[in-house]
Amino acid sequence: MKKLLVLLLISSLMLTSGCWDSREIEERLFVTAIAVDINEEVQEGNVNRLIITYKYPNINTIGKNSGSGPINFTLSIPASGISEESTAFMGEAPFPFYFKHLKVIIFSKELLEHEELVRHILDELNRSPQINKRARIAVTEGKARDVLKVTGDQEYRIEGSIYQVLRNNKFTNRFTVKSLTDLITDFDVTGVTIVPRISIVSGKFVVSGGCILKNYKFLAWVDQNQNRAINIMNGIIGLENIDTIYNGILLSYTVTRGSSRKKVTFDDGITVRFDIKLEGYLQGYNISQKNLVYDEKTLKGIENNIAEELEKKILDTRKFLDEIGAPLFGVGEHVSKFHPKMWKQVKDNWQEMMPEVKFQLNIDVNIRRTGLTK
Amino acid sequence: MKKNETISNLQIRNLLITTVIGVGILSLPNQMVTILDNDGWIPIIFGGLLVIPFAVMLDRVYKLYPDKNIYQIGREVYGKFIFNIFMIIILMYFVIQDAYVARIFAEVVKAYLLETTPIEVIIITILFISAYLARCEIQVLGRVATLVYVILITLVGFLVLISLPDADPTNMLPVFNADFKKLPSAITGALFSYAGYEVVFIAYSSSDDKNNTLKYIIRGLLVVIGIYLIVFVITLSLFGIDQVKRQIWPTIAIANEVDLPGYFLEDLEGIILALWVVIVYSTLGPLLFAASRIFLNIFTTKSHDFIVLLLIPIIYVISILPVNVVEVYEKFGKVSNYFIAASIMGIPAVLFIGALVKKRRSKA
Repeated sequence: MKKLLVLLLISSLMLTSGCWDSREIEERLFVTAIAVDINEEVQEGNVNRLIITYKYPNINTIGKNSGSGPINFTLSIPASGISEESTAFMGEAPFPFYFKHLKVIIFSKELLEHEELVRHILDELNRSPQINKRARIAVTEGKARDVLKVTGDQEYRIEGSIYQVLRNNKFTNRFTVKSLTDLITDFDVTGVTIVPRISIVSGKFVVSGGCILKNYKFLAWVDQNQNRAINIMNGIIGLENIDTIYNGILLSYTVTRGSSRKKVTFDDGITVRFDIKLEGYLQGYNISQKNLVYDEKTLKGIENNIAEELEKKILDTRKFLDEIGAPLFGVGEHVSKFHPKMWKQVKDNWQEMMPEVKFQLNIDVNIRRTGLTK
Repeated sequence: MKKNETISNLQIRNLLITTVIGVGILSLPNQMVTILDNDGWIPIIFGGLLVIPFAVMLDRVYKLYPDKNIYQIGREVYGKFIFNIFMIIILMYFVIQDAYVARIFAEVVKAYLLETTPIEVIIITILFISAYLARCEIQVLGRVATLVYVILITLVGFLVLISLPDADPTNMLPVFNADFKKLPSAITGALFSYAGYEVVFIAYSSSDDKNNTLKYIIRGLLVVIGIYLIVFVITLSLFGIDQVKRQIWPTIAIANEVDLPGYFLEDLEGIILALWVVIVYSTLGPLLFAASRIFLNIFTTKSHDFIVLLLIPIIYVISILPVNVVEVYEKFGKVSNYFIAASIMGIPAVLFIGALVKKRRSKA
């Protein structure tokens, strides 16, 4: 009798259909990307100040016997917040949304002008147990929904190509990857953060440079060179190409590895020493019959040339950041962690003090290899 | 005593670990960081070490009265009436603690897994499952604890593994920078995370080698301290201080933070919660068992298994009393803290002093 009961119970497993919380899997819309825009047509007193665009894959096109149709759907709805319950037209989507596979969140610049809306959205995203907190953030200058629409057909199924680009910094330094948690933590620690900029160029999306946010508001755009300087100073160094002019000829140097260390001293005002170490190989210089680079002296010269060039870029970027009041080199965070007593004294007027902080750049460029030729 | 009615010291150790670690592990980093900022690990250590003297006292009491269980000792020292009052306090403690654990369990499961399931269903389900365990004898509990101990270690190992790639150890800094006037209140807070070790009061008398039981109890407490510390360190280094202060259950939020390469493992909180459910089960079961055992001894009924079923409605009603999650932690937590203080420290101390005085007198 007991055995029979056990057998019955086990065989009943075959009848379960793989639903969760009494919802079938094909009756969920797996949102992979969200774009948030300002609702311009909103009237006074209406809470639906946002237009949220959801992007979700067409499940029918996935799998062996896949049907035809668009790979992804996008749906734009006026709403007061991200979650589906706050959208104006509930029931517009055929099935409930499911946010655990959310990968990309795109904000429009227009939205970032409104601090209270940004705070609301970030709080909602952070509070929800549904939202994947590693979702990547990006900012666009135009309409955020356009970016999702442009990429609608390019993307391969669930794995979004925007996500692939935004995912890690292994191959480029031209923008700073930010996840939702990183963004919130940055606002907590210093109040300033940098988010990748995404734009549409001739029908395709491009990620380059960044958008500086300060106290939950838009502050400035930076181009990819400035963004690279910021990344190098923060020790975020991936495969990277640095072009300089050496003896009047273009020289390409590829960084393969690097590190950046800070040391702060308080003897005579605040001095920060950055020890930046780059390793890499020579990518291209100039073909000729003579050996142009294959001796120690020339290599040293090239290394110094690159270091000088980089130092100039970094100092330029620093000047720009000081002007707009965005301390992004992580000095404040470093002081708060390693010199907590000092931090108590300076933290209240840190941003005003920042331009007076002395920087000592110690850039060590190493060319480890010169490729196949001498 | 017959051989099959005893349990090994190793099982007692595992029983202690799995009973103590339950729902507290989810909110502990948040509570410690809220009081003491980055130095929250200090009260975790001190709170755990503070429990050890009371375990030693308990051991001494048992050594003074070999071959007797806690009820018999208590009655001999204080008389039946007074000791029954103590026992009723402990009984209330176990019932309230059980309700508290069941409620938080249900809140977490509802938030992360079963959004549309009513909370009452979740509570009743887990209570009935743990009643199934609580109706067994102590040996079964010991075996289940040993089984769950493996799962617990797996869970901790898994948490460490998935958080390693994104963790930033400098988030632990600065150390020794907090306001140490708050340390006592932080230690009291941490102490409540060690509630549940009282199950060894009852398990002790079933040990097959009482000479070494204390050693295993202390080892068990050290393991608990270790696990709490690991969880504290990984949550803090992953989130940074402000995010930990914000999260109600930072330990589960680790799963939301992880970004493993490829798509084969996503939605990791499913895995973490599945393991955690088993750990809560092994907290609720022994607590319910202890409650019913004490009930049995107060009212001298024949066996404890039907008492378990009697206690379930009471626990259920208490657990649904708080109207929202804030009330669960603020009010419910406070009430249960008084009982925890009484049973972690009060009962062993009172019993120890009473037993000591009585023995001295009878010698003189």
